[in-house]
Amino acid sequence: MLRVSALNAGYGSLQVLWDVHLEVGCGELVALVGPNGAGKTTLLRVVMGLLPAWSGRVEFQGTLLSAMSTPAIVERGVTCVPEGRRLFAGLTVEENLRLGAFAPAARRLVEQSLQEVYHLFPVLARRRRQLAGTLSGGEQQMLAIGRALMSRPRLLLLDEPSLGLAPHVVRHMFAIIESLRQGGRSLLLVEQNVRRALEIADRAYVLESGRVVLAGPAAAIRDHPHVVQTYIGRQG
Amino acid sequence: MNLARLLVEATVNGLLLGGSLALLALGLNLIFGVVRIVHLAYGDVLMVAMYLVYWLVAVLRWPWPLAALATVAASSLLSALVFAVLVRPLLRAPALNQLLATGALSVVLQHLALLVWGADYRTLSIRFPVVQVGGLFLPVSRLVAFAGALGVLAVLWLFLHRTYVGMALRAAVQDHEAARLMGIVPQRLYLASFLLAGAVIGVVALFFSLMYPVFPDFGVPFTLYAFVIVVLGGLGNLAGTVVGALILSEVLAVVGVLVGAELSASAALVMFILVLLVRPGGVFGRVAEGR
Repeated sequence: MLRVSALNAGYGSLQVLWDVHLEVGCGELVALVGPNGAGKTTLLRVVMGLLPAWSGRVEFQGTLLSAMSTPAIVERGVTCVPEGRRLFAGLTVEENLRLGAFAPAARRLVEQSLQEVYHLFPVLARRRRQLAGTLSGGEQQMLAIGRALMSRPRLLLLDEPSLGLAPHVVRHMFAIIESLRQGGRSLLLVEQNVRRALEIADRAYVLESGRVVLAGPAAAIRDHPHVVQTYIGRQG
Repeated sequence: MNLARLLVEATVNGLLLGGSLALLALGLNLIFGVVRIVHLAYGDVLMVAMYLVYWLVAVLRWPWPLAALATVAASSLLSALVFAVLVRPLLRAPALNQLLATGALSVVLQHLALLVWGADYRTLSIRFPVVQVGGLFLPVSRLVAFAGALGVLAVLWLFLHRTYVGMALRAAVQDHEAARLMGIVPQRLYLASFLLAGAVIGVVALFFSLMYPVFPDFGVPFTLYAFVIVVLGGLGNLAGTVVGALILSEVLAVVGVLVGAELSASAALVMFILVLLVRPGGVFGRVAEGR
């Protein structure tokens, strides 16, 4: 579904991603883990067309994304829940959601999508007229995910959805993420919470200093000595 | 006492002017907030639109409704033209270059007006009566302008809150990149905000033509006033813009009565500097995000 091959990218003269290869299959949940500054967010930005690739290819269902603008990529069925949520804080919950369905095809189904998101996150329905900036951290993350779902994406990129959330909210968030796979939707999950991410993922990539150092089934990555030592730690 | 009545009259007049100033500042708020460009020729587009009103109504003797429609349409087109010809090529240019370009346009428009219409003050020779309300003398022209401004503000509010383009404009003011992630094409919003601001300028030109004569550098202080109001009220903050406009117009009106009209603009700007020193984020303190 998504195929990233031989990707090099960066900011200015600083190269961040080095020859990155990555694939997400149909209906798959793929985790992308690694330390801060490894280039995870940069990779998502390149996929979304927010940052140009220096070389290499990004393909989605056979079409080349690397030459397309961000709005065109969204229309193709790829959406991103950005790092830090990036909600429109001065707009209401429902306005944020409606904006998620801005693309013409999504807009035709906006009322249906709205009901689906409210069904998935009932708390958003209760707060629909509230300003997004007044929500709690967990609610804001739900709104960010709900807003992304409004475009009815076939591939959803999630950048650090558990960041800054209270532990019991994190558990809930991972349950939600697992449920997003329904209907053959593919997910690429960038996470700092490596252990939980590897629990729910099918496959995983470990990105360090802009290079993929490990790739494989999530269970194998979870037990890999390097990952255990660096990210998960000893535990009972 | 006489001074007391003068003060009350000035306060009411300030309030009445505030409606039009709020409209004017809202147009600039859109351009400044969505396109992130300092449009120094903003007031000069207003000046051109006012000459157009004068020309259509006083010279060509068009009926008012037709002249009003033509003015709003032409002003909107002129604003879009400024975007297409001058601003679009400079979107990625350094801020200083953008500033110089719109500043240069301001001078060009003023001199074109001088060339076409001369330096004389031009007024519509319509005399509006002055009505007496509870001992206050209020010019009907200002009452008409105020009521009209309130109506257009309401329409604008509905547009910004009830349509997709309006919502997208408000979203883009807050976070450009997130707006792109929603599938919003920024370039189209830029054009939309210039078109909309141009239409608003056209409406304000109609109201101002009832109150003021027009001359080539008429628009200069209004560019400044509009920026002051936007900063006072906060980027993307509609209610704040209205309040900011009222504050500014009250200071203009009251100082005009107490000290003299010559100093009222200076007083307004001194007030603005003081506000910035105390509250750098504007009165309502909602600073736009850093991108």
